[in-house]
Amino acid sequence: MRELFERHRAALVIFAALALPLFLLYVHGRSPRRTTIVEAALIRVTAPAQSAASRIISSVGGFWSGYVDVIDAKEQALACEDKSRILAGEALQTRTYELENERLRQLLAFKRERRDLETIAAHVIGKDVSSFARVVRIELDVGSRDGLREGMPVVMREGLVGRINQVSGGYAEVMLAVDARSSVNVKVAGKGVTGTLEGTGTGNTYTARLLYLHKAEGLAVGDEIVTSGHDKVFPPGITVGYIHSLEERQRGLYYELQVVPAVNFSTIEEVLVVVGQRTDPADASLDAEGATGTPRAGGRREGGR
Amino acid sequence: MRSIGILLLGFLLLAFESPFLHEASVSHYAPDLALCVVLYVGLTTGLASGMGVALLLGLLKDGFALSSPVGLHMEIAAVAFLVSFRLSRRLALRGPGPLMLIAMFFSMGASLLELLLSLVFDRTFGHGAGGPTVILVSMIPQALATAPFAPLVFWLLDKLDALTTRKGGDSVYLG
Repeated sequence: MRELFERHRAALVIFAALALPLFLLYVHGRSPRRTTIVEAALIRVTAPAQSAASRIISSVGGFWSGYVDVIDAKEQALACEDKSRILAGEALQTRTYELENERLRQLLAFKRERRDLETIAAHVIGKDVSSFARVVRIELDVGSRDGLREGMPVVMREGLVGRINQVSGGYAEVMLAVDARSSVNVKVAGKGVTGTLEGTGTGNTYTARLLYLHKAEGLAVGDEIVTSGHDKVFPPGITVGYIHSLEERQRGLYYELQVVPAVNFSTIEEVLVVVGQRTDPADASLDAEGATGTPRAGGRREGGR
Repeated sequence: MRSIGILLLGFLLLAFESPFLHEASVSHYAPDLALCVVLYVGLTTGLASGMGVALLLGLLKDGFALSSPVGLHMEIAAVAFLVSFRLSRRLALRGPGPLMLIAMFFSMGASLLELLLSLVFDRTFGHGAGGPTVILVSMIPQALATAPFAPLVFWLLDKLDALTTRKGGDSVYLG
């Protein structure tokens, strides 16, 4: 018997291996709704393993999806940053246009107020700046080709900027009203006090002094100083500055007061060069109606003589 | 020791297979990793011990796949083991390509056997979501899904063999 078994061992193993599953299959296939001992044992073995594997895979999957989310978020943040940079650039550009528009409106308003003046609008294309970040000289994009000559007044709505100091074909250099070489005949508006405004501006200040002959009464801090027009260089009535302090000092024959300029020289971008004054009010009125130009490279004469 | 290692690895593969595929959203065409293990066992192990491992792997698979009656995958594993055991003496497999091809054929054969056994033994077969059509439709996709995993499973088992039998880790089948 044992010999028979040894001889047919392989066949018996194969038979048993094929028959056992078939038997189990027969039993479980016949009554599938009833849980057998084998099934219960299998569940007891496999369920905890599958549950643990499920938890591990979920954690890894969660970590991975979190990582992917972080990468996505980073990409989105970079895209937003780029977009934000572009928008910030556009906003800055828009703000620049707004400011330019405002300045040009101011110039236009000045032109309408002063129709008696024949002007050329100009861009400031260069500024000499001192070591204290003070503008000591400016350069314009208009020159002798546009009819400019030395000594012509340079103004803006806030007041007097200075006068043309040097002029060439397409460029002009302006001496500021606060320059130590500058001298302008002025008066205190509404007070009848006349005198001379001399620049005292050094590299670190924008100041001037008002010199007058007779000791003045009734002056106050903030009183407006305007051009008198007596020097035949600057048209009358252009604001030059304001009284800064009432500490009157005597200097030889003259009395002296500190004046702050009306113009902020650090922020000048566009100016008007006064190239002439109209004497006929009718012409002035007509010209003023058409005077809506804005400064541009090379300048443009506003109105006829 | 080697058989226990193979069983343990097969158990882990079966435990992780289902949740992994579910997480990867490809659970419809799951690779038959247990079949790959049985194929390896058939090609590398003796008849009695190999058959024992194959039967236990089939039983474990029955445990993990509770929708089918117990014994179904045992029978499939036993047949697969016998075929691969016979092939091991006549076939010289070299490289992952032929291995994938063999795994694909075994997977299709296993699907046909599953269909046949279910028709004969499973009284509820075709009543629920599963049925002959489902097995036939998924037969080729499942074979295609199983094939690429065969070299991976063989590589793992080779490493396990190297650990348990202290032989070199070079695979006879992966070249």
